[in-house]
Amino acid sequence: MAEENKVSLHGFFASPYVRRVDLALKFKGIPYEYVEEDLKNKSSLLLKYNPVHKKVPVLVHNGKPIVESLVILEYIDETWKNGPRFLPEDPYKRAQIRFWASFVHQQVFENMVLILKTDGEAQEKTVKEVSEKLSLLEEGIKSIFPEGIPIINQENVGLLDILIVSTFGSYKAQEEVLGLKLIDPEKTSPLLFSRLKALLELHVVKGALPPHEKVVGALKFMRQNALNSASV
Amino acid sequence: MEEVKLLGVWPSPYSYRVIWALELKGVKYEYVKEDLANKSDLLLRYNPVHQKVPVLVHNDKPIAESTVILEYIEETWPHNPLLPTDPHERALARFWIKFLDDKSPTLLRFYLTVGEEQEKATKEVRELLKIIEEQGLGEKKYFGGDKIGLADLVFGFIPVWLGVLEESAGVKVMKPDDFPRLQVWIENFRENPVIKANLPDPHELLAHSKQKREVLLASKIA
Repeated sequence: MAEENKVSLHGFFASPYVRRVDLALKFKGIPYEYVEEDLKNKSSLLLKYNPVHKKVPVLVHNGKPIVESLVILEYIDETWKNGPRFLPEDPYKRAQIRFWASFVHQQVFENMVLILKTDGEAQEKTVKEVSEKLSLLEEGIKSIFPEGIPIINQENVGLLDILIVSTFGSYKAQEEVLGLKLIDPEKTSPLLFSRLKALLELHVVKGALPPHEKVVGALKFMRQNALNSASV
Repeated sequence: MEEVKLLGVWPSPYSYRVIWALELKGVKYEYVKEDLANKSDLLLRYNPVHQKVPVLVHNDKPIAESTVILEYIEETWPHNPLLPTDPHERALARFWIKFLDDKSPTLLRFYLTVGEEQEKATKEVRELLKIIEEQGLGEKKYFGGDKIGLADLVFGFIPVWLGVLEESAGVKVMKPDDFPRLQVWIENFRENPVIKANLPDPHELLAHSKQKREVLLASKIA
């Protein structure tokens, strides 16, 4: 009985990958136990559940682990059919969402991590790249919603919304630490930005994002570490 | 009327994954051979974001990214399923698909290097194969379970391309008794009648690999 539908999430508070899963569970109203991992001293449970990568997030459902944030999101959507459906029914629309989710994950987010971890010319180059990717994303969002974007509420959030919040939700903290703006709400990303603002108003999202100062602290720490090891 | 077109490039493993999925499902399609040095208007129109192949076009609607295409094929033509029905097993299949794609630099490095760098790269790819054999395949007949599935199509890189890369690079990554379970899987994969009927010509593939390696190494020295 204790194992029946038992859900736990192993994570790290500052990880956007973990944030994605956390948001997904909250949007679906799935009760779960959260286990904060110390990434410098990983629990034996984490190593048991994710022997290949030894990373967070790990979702454990009825004793079975699922890893990789995007894989977990699809698992959650397939297993709990109540609440918002993260992917639409139509296969073509699903393909469009998956394409753009993968785009945000690989082309945008991974480059944003690089921006955090570099400076000087290398950073400038990546900032330019991200700006180009954001232009493409803006076009992508238009192509997914040719009739215009529906008003967001907790019943109709989708996979892409989860990625948008987890990637850009802490944009103020990112700007503070980097001393530069990554999203341009006027020129490059008006649709993205207005979607983000609407998402940040949702009750679930407000409750899920860590406080500004904590994120600033975590980002500063990551940046320092990366720049120190680069200069050795 | 259903119209299915696949824009692909020879001999890309990414294009072949999609070919195999379509063939396994018996979907009729027109294959359009692309030349990446001279991209067609069709490709630029259907994949403006990445301008890459493969691109599947179904009733004039384009889908890009091989893994996105594979999921689309599975959902649109659900007969002869290539993903398990159980959500946890599906998640595992998707995990291993992502794993192989994320690790492709490691898979290719031994082929793109020489000397000490190549030795190190060879060691790394062997470690990768061990993880794939022990954790990915385990005791199963296929990565997908009892039957060939999407994960097998993605791991199809190993039976079809790895040996050719080894020969081009003059390096043995998979020695005969090293990965016995993986070897059995390789044979099962290659013996599947649909796969067997849709393989790149090995001689052409080898010539192509050797030539490509020469060009890549020369550009590094320059």
